[in-house]
Amino acid sequence: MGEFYKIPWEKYGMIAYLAKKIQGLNTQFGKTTIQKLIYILQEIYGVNIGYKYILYNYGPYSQDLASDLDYVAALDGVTISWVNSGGYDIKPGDRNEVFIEKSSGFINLNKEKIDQAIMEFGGYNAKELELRATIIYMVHEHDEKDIEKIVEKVYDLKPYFSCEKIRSAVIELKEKGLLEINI
Amino acid sequence: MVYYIRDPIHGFIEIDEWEKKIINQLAFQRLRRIKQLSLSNMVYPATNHTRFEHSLGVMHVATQMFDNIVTRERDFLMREFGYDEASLKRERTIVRLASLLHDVGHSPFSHAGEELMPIKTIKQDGKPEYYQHEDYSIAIIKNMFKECIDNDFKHNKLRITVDEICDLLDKKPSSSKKVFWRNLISGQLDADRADYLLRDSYYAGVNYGKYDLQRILRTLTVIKAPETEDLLIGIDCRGWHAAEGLIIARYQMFTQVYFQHTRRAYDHHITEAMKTLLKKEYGKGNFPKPDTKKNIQEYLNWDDWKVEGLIKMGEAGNHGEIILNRTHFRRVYETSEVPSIEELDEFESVYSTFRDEIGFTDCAEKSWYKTGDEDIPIVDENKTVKPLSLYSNLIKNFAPVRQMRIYAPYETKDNIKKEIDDFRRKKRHG
Repeated sequence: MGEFYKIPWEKYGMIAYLAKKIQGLNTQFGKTTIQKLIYILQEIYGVNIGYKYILYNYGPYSQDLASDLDYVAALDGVTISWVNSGGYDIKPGDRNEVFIEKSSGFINLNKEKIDQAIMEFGGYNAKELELRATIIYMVHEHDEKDIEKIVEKVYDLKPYFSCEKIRSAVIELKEKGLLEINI
Repeated sequence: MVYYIRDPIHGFIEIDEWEKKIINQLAFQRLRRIKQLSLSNMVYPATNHTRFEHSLGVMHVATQMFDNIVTRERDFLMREFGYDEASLKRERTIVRLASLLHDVGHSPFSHAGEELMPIKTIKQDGKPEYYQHEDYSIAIIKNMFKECIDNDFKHNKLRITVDEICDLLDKKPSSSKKVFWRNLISGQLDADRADYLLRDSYYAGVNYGKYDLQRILRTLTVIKAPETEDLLIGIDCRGWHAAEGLIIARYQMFTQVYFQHTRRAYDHHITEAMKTLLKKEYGKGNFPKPDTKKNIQEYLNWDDWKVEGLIKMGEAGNHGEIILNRTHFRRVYETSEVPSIEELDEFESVYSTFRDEIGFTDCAEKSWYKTGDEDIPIVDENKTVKPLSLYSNLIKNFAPVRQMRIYAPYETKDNIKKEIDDFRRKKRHG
């Protein structure tokens, strides 16, 4: 008997759903943004989408998600275009609803959490999300709880953010109850 | 003293006395006994090359990449990362050693052993996270190479440590510099891929996989990401056709060699055969964890020779016999390379109907060599950054290969194929 295999509709559906929901938030929803939003959904909101992340050029990054995004775009679930000011823009494609429908069980189960994450983080641009996702990575993967050490480590990785800027993002995440750290 | 090693891909690979000593360590010499492409030699008989020569090739290419980037962007790198001549030289040595040692953690038959790695940790959601060969590489470097790196005061004038080398290989690098240089070992334009495409193509005897490495080397540059300010490795716009060629080479090697249907059947059989051997040895079908020196040594005892010997002795169960007799499972159904939603539906339906009769299922996304995320950043003379897909119509229309296949046992393949064909025909005609 063959091993159990399941087409990851919930992953494809999540990509399609985010592209749809971010519309109208007046933000550029690009490849970096979707990477970080799904990372935050998994790490902070406990929505188990199943992507594995490493720390890459833009902070936490999942190669499988990048590949799934291109695949969903190839099947018209989303469109990906390049904007002249720089960066990608992801929008719902002609078959967006088909993907959402096929993963409706998963999306409905997690709808509240997903919508809350979009409300909390959907308005940030790629750079702001990169900062917050990298902070979360430091706390979760390096098990770092001390704010000064978090600031120091994030600064080593992303020196174009000032320590003040990093510190204030850490405090913001803590105050929203999204991170357990010592201040 | 400088030594030159002959290599069919790069001509001569230069190493120094210290590198020779590191290469002569048993944990590195083991790579001579791990084939680069697992049992691809059941399809392409000459693919018997090993991780040993690949690792030398990666060191060679990574060094060339490093040198070309530094030559072009020396002032920029010094300004952004605070390098001086001495620290740049030191970084070059770290890049060389990290690329040389990046594969020492491979299990027998390379990626075919990846499914047999033990559980590393249980995540917050209760799901297990498994070790990967990179975890073994890091553990092996820290435990088995410390003596000949950290403690070799004769050769190690720069006082480089195994921790610094592992920082380049780790999925959690510590600084922006390390994140940047890590791209040479693991990234869209990395030396690993640059070497294996040419090397695997050469040994497979195919005319796919070839691209203009020299042009890529001479057009590599540092790019500031437009949306963020991260520093990336990209290509000067004069080299975009070479970058396009690299992606086409990768696509063709994937479809014709790495995801070739018979090769994938043997990936399945060798994984199952090793699982049987590991169960006999340890009671469960996983390699030892890389958590103690004893376990690491135990893991290092596993190589292709040991597994092949046990298969020949009849110790590897049914799948070992299949390998010996070349009676591999046969492909009885497959989707197109980029299956549509309707094809995915059909696959699910075929799979759920025949799942008790089939041998195994395979999908391209499970392959380590899978394609996707191919957009390489290109910078023009005005320092404007755009993705390769804006330059190349070919790349614009590239989609990740997501082909899925169903295999059946050799003995029943004809019947199952006929049943599946009938089932599909009936479905299509209502």
